[in-house]
Amino acid sequence: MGNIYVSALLSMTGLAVFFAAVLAFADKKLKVEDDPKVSAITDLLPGVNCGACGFLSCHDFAEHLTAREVDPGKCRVMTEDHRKKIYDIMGEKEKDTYPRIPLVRCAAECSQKEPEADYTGIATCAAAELVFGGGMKCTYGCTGYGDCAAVCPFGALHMENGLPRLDAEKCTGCAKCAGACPRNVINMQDKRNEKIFYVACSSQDDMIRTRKICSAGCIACGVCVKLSGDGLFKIENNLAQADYSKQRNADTLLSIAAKCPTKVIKET
Amino acid sequence: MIIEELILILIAAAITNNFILTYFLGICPFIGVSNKMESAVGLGLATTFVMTLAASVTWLVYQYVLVKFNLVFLQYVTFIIVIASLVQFVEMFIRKTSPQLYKALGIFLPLITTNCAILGLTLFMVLRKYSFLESVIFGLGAGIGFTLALVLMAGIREELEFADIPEALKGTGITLILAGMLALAFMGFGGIISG
Repeated sequence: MGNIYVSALLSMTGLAVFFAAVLAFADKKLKVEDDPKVSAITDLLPGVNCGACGFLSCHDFAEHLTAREVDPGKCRVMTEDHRKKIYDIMGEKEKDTYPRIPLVRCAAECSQKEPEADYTGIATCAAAELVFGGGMKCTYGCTGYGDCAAVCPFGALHMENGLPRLDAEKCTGCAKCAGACPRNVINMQDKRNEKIFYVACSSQDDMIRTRKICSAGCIACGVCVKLSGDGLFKIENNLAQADYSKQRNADTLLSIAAKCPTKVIKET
Repeated sequence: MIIEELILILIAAAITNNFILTYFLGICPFIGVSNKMESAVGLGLATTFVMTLAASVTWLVYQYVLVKFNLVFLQYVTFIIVIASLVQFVEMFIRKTSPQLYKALGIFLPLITTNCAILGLTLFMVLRKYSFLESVIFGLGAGIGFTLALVLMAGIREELEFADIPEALKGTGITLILAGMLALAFMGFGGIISG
């Protein structure tokens, strides 16, 4: 009986070694020489294959870079330094790019999320969103189950008091968190200045309802619009929106933020 | 006499017992790669190559290793090892000789490994107790049949681009319906060859 085990082991090992040898030989013989530029660029790319650039892998992205079909700025993950080196290899001049960061457009902490029902289902935002947002009265705000923090490949987000908090040092701007949020609470924005001011609310409910269900929501009172005067803010669908391209003077913005009755204008 | 038999095996594998349209094996690449004629022909030829090689190599391994050492129970594992190595080899070969085809086939090239039509082929071959030559012809026929089905489908799907398809059926839906119709058409060959 022992014989069959030995012969099975030996013959399978033999076959495996034989095929491995054939493949190793073929690999040597049929090796395709990569364009040295492609491998140089691939080495500079982060190599995490996150796919945020829209290509299959870092290698695929490098091939398109070598063919000058895309801009290295598409890769949000790599460092400034590496980007410059890639521009050198491509022989092109660098364009102005800003790092991108996620803005969490909700400010309701645990105690401020008014419940409408008890949700005892699977504790993910995606699951909660399927059953009317996990029992929260506000249908626009952060449900607080942290899908964004879970999906972040760099550990840059963590949940704190029912809201995602950003560790800007770790964030690469890959936008995976924005894609994971079922309510689109997270927006990606170019970080043009040291500080960006944004309205930390996504609710399009009218003033009365927002007032009733959330103490941290934007009630679209229009104070920020009046104070800024030159279009720094505008009201759309019962919600104030910041125009990020016009944010130059941090002091003005700070004073406007201080006047906001619900203190919903936050800085990064 | 023997030639007659070989021709019969070839035609049976390619048409009357077509792997895709009669046995419904290998539907994944059939749906996945049949949207463009060029890649359909490419994958068809690659699969034919792998099938023919797989049939011959597995026959040798089966007869001279598995049967000899009384290890027939290992046939599934062994066949999969053989097929996987062959596919790896073909992948390297195509990458070297035709980068365009390599790009067009994309993920479906390594997926030939898990194409059940190929494992099916090797198992049928054992089941029907074919000789070496018969196995090779069987593999070639199956490959030709696979290519034929893929190319037919690609031709139809290219025309389909211009057709007015109900919204709900667009894409995979209409493709599966078409596959069913093609299979019905191929049933017509059923009575030609017995066995």
